[in-house]
Amino acid sequence: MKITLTVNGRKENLEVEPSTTLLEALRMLGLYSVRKGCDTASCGVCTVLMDSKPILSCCSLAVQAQGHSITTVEGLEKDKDFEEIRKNLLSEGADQCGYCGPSLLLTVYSLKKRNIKSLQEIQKYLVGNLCRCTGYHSQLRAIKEFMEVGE
Amino acid sequence: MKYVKRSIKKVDGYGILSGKPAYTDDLAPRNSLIVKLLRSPYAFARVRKIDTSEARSLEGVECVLTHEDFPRIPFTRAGQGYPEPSPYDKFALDSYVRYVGDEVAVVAAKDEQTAEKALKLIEVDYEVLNPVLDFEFSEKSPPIHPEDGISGVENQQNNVCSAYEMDIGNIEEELKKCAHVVKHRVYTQAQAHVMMEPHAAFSYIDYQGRLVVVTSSQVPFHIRRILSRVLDIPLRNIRVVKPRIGGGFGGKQAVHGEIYVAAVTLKTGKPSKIIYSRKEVFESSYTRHPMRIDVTLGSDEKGVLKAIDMEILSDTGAYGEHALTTLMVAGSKNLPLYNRVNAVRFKGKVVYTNHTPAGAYRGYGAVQGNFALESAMDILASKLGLDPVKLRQLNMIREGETSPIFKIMGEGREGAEMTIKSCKLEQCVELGKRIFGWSEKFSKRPESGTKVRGVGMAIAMQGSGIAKIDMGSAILKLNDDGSFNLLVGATDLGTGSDTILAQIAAETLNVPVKKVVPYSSDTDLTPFDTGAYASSTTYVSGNAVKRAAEKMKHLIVQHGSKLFNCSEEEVVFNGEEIIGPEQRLPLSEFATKLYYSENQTQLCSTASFVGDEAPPPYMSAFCEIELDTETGKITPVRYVAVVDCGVPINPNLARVQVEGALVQGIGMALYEEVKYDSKGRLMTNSMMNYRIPSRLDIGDIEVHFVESYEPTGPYGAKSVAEIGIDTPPAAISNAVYNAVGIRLHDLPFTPEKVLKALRVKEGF
Amino acid sequence: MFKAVDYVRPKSIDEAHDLFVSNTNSQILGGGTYLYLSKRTIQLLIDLQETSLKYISQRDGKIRIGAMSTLSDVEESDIFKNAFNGLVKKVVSDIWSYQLRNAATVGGTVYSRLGFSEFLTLLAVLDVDVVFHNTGVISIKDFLKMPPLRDILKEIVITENDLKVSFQVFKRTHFDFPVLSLAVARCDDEFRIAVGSRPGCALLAKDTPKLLSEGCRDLKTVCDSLIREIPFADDLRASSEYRRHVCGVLFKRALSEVL
Repeated sequence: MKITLTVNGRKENLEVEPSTTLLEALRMLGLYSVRKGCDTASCGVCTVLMDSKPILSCCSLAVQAQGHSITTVEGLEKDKDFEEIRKNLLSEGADQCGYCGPSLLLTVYSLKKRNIKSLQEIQKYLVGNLCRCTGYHSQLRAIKEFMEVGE
Repeated sequence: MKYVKRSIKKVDGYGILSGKPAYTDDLAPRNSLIVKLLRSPYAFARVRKIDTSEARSLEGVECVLTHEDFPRIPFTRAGQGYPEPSPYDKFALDSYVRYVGDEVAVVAAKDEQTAEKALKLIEVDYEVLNPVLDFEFSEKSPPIHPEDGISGVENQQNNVCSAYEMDIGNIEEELKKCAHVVKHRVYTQAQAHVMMEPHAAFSYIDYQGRLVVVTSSQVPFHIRRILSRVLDIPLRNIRVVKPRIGGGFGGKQAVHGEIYVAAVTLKTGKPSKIIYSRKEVFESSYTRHPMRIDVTLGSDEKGVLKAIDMEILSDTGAYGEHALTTLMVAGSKNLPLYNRVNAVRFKGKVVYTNHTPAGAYRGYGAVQGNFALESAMDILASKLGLDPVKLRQLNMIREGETSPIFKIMGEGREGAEMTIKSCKLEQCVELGKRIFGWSEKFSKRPESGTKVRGVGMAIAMQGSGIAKIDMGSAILKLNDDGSFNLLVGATDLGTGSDTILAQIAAETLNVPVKKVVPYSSDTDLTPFDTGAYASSTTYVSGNAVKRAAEKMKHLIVQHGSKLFNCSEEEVVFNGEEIIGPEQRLPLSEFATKLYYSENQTQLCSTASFVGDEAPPPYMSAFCEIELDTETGKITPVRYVAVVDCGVPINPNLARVQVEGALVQGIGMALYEEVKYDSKGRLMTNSMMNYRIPSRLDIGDIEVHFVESYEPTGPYGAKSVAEIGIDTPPAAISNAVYNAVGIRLHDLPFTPEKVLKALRVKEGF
Repeated sequence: MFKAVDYVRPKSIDEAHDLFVSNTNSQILGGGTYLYLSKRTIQLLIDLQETSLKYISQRDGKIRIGAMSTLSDVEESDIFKNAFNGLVKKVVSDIWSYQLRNAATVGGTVYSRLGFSEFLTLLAVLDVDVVFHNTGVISIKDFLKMPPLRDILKEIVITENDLKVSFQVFKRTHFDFPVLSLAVARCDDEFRIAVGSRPGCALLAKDTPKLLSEGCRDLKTVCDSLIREIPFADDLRASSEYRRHVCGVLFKRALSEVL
């Protein structure tokens, strides 16, 4: 079936099945920052923003996403906040293999927009963003600076 | 130093975080055939008959392959230097399947849906056999590899894949003389790597008729050689390229789906691609070798170690990749920690079972061995009434010393003599002890209440490449704008090796890092490198880069002297200019002249390096845990690690390596449980069931460095990739003993196991 | 992922309900955060996102949550900041991951009665009505015991009152399904106890609340009673034996909060 998705501010037309995931649809559009990690909604790597909220694109359907606004990192290139959190992550060397990077960036970016200030809360919101390379501490250093939180 | 010891950003970070197509699946041609594998539902079976006719005739299916379509050539999938110290006990496809998930047939179709449908249409008549599922009984069970035509197996009939033993001195005699003898047995689990990017590969035939394989692999050169052997095509007709990789940790140090996409491409002439599902990664790639380790320690009255005896039984699963080498590393990277003993004995067997094959995983035996040894040391300390730190200080290896084990035990063969030229382990222990507040915490009186805290410590060492075996090389070429292309075979799996190798070249050439453009891991365009394993990149590949850069400097001086018409001694290259007795030329102008107008030459240098030694990095670890005595749950509170990796080329990246490794070690110690059912099916085969640590499960981790200077390493560097993973199981086990007086010896320390042990202690 | 032949977004619950009952191989789509695990072929996927079921309102001592409200909607609502001393908010905020909660719906969570659901364990001890489009109002107590209904869950209604509630959960890691979840609610001498993730879903105890109502405060007696009357089973996360033990521990902790 033919659908239209609003992705990064643009209207994109696609031919999909009802059970095509949003992840598959976005990769069909050449948005390679959206990646598959696990098959069981358990790792967070496929995170995209739907109406500014992080969701898992691997268990969302493309058809479900019609009428909503989807954001991936490709759409935030010119966004000041996004540039800053990316810069911080890179400075800490927290990008390692980079596979989970975009999903983490989007989630942190959404928390900044919500003005979450408690480090404990931030960490809790990020629990669904797994990483196997960094051990999380370099990410935390980058995030602390970005969110301007103390201990 | 200007460019080394700098925490510069990774050269590829920006692109990867921006979504530039960089990983294997991003780069695969859109019209690739989708390759799926039919996998065995049985742990052990013979394929009596396989009927692919219906699958073949399904519209959209281009190719179906069974064992009848492959030449019967035995090989090892292990990515190791040739001749590999792993048995050649695998065929591309076989008429036997030896674990749930073993490959049975290959399907290539126009899309994923069609391929999945075709898999269901393949009819297989299995003769189901009794699987061997307990490695402690493998030797008494019928053989899993009874077939002819395989080689390198220690004893096929008894399911012994590999065996090794060595001794120094007379262990029995020494133990008899010891005032104190402790024995300890531990079990470790088949930990899964869970790298975020599942295995992926695609292949196509290029316009020269050559097979090109693009794969998420740590060992592109080994892949090329293995493909040549298995598919029986000349190596020169194969090109293997590694793009960005989403993590490996050893799980991609072997050939996986590459054989099948290559076979499909060769058969159909079309590009084809395979992306493993997460289930396939769990069931059908590799795990860590689960081991049972017995350690006996003997010391005098004061706690000076006199004898160490270590015996290992290791489970390599259905195939013997990395079996012998991980067994030996369990000994060779731990026993020398206490090098002044009079007698050491190391004995081990690796047996087959019908489990998912075990293979390379960060630590590579060292972490299993460390768990056993450092737990036993803690038991000895307790027996002696000594502070565990004191016991280490009495016995651990020091700079300037050596151990006969270095010469005797290499990886799969003899090793290399080594006198330790850089070792700040003592300082690592002192610093860690101080930062952690060890003395005060260790001697604290036991608390009442249901949540009890405890502290534990451990030390570890690893290596920097495999001495006399691992070779890396580099090519530098000068561009007309004064920049350099740095071509290295070394494999960046996200670790940042492209970046640190560029830093080393920049330091040697005295040019800014941005003027060195690294390109890596393409078997056509980059020179050989064994690949990313054995913590070899910084030390081995780094040394190769340094040499190539030194050669380039000399070439510049040489050609400068030709241009200036003077002797070489009169020319200086300071990184920015070539300075002669009467002229000076900026590098870019010099390079432009060499390209286009005078004495035209492409300046290009190449160098290789193979280490005479594998200088170990060292670390000390101090950890605090909280144990809920009502539920048995262990919560990590704080982990202080102090590392000596020589001079860190990029301190940030070195720190992140250790932090990441520590968290994997904590996962191995506390959370990553592996379960098989009675029929040999891996039940913990999804990320939903197999839980790696989240950011709330690890407590505070602090990594510090004590710098030593390794004279044989590039700018004093040693490697750092694996050392971080070695200590958590022992340190945490020791902390639990400190808290509640129970010795946890079976990984992982789940709340259920802890509770059981607590109840046993209380007399239930 | 399942295979779906057709997809529709009805504009009203009536429309959705008609489609649902007239097509036996149709499936209601909430957030889809668990449905993706199914491998079956669905004839018609009925997406409720345009049927105006996304609301949380408070009036006359009742909180109404529309079935298409996400778990995040509950977590972030001002109403639940205060209701039950913030306990509902706290329990929901610990469920799986932020990303999942942004999509998983209250309707899907309650309707599917999945074993691991912490939310259901908590709801089981509150005064909650589950409202179906056709069948009408069913108390949560009854709902938990019924066979699956082929009807559309419209909303859940929570009555605000002075129940003293404690919720306890045990997970192996912070990002995991529970090994066990337990809730106790008390109003004077009336007690309600629910145990979930057994691994089966929330089950209300019968005998043990009676014991407590009769005045029994001996911890060993009431714990033994609870462990005896609640069935547990083994799964990948824990053995039934361990669950029994943890049940006793969590129950003790819950009682210390409500007594």
